[in-house]
Amino acid sequence: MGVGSIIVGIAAFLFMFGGFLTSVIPFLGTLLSFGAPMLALAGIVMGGLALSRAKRDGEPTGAPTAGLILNIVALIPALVVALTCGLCNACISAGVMNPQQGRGQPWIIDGGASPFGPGTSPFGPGPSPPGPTGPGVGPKDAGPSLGPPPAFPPPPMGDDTAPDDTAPDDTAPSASP
Amino acid sequence: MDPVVTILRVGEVERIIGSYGVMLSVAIVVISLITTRAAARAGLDVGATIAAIGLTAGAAAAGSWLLYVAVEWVRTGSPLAAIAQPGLVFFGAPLGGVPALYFACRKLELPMGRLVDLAVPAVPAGHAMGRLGCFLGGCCYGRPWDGPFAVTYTHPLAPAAYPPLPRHPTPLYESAALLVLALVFALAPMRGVGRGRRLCAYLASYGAVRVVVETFRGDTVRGLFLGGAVSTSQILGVLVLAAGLAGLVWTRRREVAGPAQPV
Repeated sequence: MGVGSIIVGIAAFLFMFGGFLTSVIPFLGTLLSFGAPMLALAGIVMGGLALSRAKRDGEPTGAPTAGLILNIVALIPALVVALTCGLCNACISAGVMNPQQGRGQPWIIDGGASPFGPGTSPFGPGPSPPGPTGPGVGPKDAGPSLGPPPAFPPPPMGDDTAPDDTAPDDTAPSASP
Repeated sequence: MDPVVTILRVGEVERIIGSYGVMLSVAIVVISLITTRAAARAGLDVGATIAAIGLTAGAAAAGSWLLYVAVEWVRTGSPLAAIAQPGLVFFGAPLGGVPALYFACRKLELPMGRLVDLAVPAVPAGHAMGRLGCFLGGCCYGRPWDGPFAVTYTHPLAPAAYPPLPRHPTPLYESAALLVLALVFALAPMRGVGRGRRLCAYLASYGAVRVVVETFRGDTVRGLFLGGAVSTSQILGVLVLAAGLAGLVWTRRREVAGPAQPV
């Protein structure tokens, strides 16, 4: 089981790189991205079991320890890659791949399509945001008007507690990187 | 605050590494390491403990994903659409994780109550890391407020930037409270470990923290009731608080009734 743990750890690494490279391919990218941390976890379980048995039976613990370390090392980047296309990061990916989505009213304000919901997948274009865009579109009590978000990556904005005049400029270009 | 840590590039392929994902990964590693170390110090089988943690984490992730797929399937009517769009639902984690932990402890002959009690300082520590991810990502944000600790999100990919108003840094409030809880449980005497009392105390204290922090939250997507006076998480927080207190009373009565057997 210790050797099996090492093999699963290598497979987790391969899945991670495969998920990274095929992230724009529907189903395959998702399968590989989410499969990598699951494989690493399976390898950790196998390595832990092998370590437990080896210690109990007085056998060498080299292979189980190597498998454990390999899978733990694989798990961290695999989790990052998987969570990149997870709940929060799906909207980030969609925003970069289709910056035009960000030009509508925010869904939080107008109750429109959530960037976390279906249709905003990084694998394809989402629904067009409802409503007009541009300055002065936000609700009356929302303070400063909401212009369209700037191009990605955004220009330097100073510190986070800066006054609201650091809000995105209407004239900012919106070209995809 | 920046929802994007960096952009990895391999050839023409670009992949954004989000702050939330990074901090969630850090949280999982922190919980696993602290729990394993505590188990080793307590004389438990380290290999079996690692295996149990791995199985629980995998089952929790699978439960979260399966519940997400089920919810999306019901919502969209299409199983393919539900599978194609990645996502997780938090409440699926305990549905998958708790039975897996029970199964693993039974199979590996680990004392479940003792293991869970030993993991109590690790859980709030990891949870605090996760909340820092929320703070960096600009989600779970607070009500508009112009006080001394107010933060204004301006990053276009942060949900809190719409509108870009000064707000309560609610993820930081919760993170700070969770770190205090982690310290208290780490420094508190280990008396009663193995009877589930530490877990119950943690549940009660976290429920109280959540109910208080929710009053400063400003995002409406988490579900509001009674005209916005109560949120879903506040209701759940009260239930968790009540469950923790009931568990404390129950374990205390068991202790008074006779010498407790480790679970």
